[in-house]
Amino acid sequence: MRPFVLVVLLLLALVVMVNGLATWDRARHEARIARAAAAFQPGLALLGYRDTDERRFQKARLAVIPRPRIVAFGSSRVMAVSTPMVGAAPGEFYNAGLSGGSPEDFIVLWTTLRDRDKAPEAAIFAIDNWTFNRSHPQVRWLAWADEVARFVDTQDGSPAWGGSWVPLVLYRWYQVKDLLSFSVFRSSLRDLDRLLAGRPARGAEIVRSLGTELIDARDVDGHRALLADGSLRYETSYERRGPNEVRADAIDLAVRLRGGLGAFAWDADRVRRLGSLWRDMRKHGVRIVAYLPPYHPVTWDLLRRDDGAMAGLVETRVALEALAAGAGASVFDLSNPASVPCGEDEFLDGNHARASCMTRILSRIGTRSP
Amino acid sequence: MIVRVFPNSLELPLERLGAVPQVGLAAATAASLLLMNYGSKFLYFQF
Repeated sequence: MRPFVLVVLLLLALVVMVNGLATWDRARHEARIARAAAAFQPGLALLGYRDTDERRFQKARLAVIPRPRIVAFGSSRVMAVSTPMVGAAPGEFYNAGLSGGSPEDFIVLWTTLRDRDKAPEAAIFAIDNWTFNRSHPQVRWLAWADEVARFVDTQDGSPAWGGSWVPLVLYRWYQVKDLLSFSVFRSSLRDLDRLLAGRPARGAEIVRSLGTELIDARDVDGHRALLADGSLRYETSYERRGPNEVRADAIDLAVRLRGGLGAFAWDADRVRRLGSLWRDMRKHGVRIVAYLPPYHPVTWDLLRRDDGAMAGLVETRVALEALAAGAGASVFDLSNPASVPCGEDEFLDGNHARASCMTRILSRIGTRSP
Repeated sequence: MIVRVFPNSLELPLERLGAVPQVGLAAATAASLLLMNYGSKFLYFQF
């Protein structure tokens, strides 16, 4: 009997030790990222942003910045929105946009703010026109699948029963239980192997970038850079591309990718997730303004002759309006650039607007202070 | 037939098993406990 009990206990203790060690190391690493993110102060710009894990970066930034009054959520199409464009005072606005950002990303970014009592007064959502199209792959959020599942599973982020301590106790229980999980054990072994092999931990590049590539925002000198308010400044070479080059991109987006609306397959799960997010935000007093961003006029001209794409877009607009009505949000369909209005020379490519167009969008949706 | 050949572990006369079979059984038990808890929702993301 004794060898049996001893060996069982020894093996389980070994698993707990490996998982505990890897978890501790990960927490230490996250703390290091948070400290590095806090060094990104107004007036500075980050050059190496393109090569970092954007999701990890934005989450770390939201955790350390002071409570913003306005937050922008969206994909790369919202990333250029800056504090002056919104007409806010320094420190009042934060752009939480990220490449390929989808409602699931917004959920995690929002809970990062909410859980630290930093709910903003207003949230601007740039909802990509293809957001609810399953045929247009949007999978980058999967890195946050656990957090998204937790938010959705707990009915808008909070359980329908029990007091406020219930989710915390449940969360701690699941954490403890995971110390004896096989999948966690496998991941821990991989992490420890990485550590022993001397390879940097995931997200180490963020610490490195923030340590070596933070410069005075006045010295950006035409490079692509991220500012402390989360807004992206494009490199001059991209901004100076001629109309023919931009038009070629616009045609490619419409013809080859059908504006992300081709073979439109409705994603009801994503609609539900966005609804949960908006309801939770409204519960915390956040004013929500959402819009479907404009396409380049040439892209739009081609797309509106595409019946399938247009049907998907109409379905998207109707769903967003229904969600907005239920959650007390405002929604604007600005897919047609003439509705802003934005001209052909106000686009960087088929779907990324220049600053002048972005500023007009913000005025149009009523989120720009005079 | 299966029950006769592989008796339920609860019916195993543990105290009468030798040290080596006990160690083997212990390893199987620990692995089972671990595999029962296969998924993780919190500490790590699993595809």
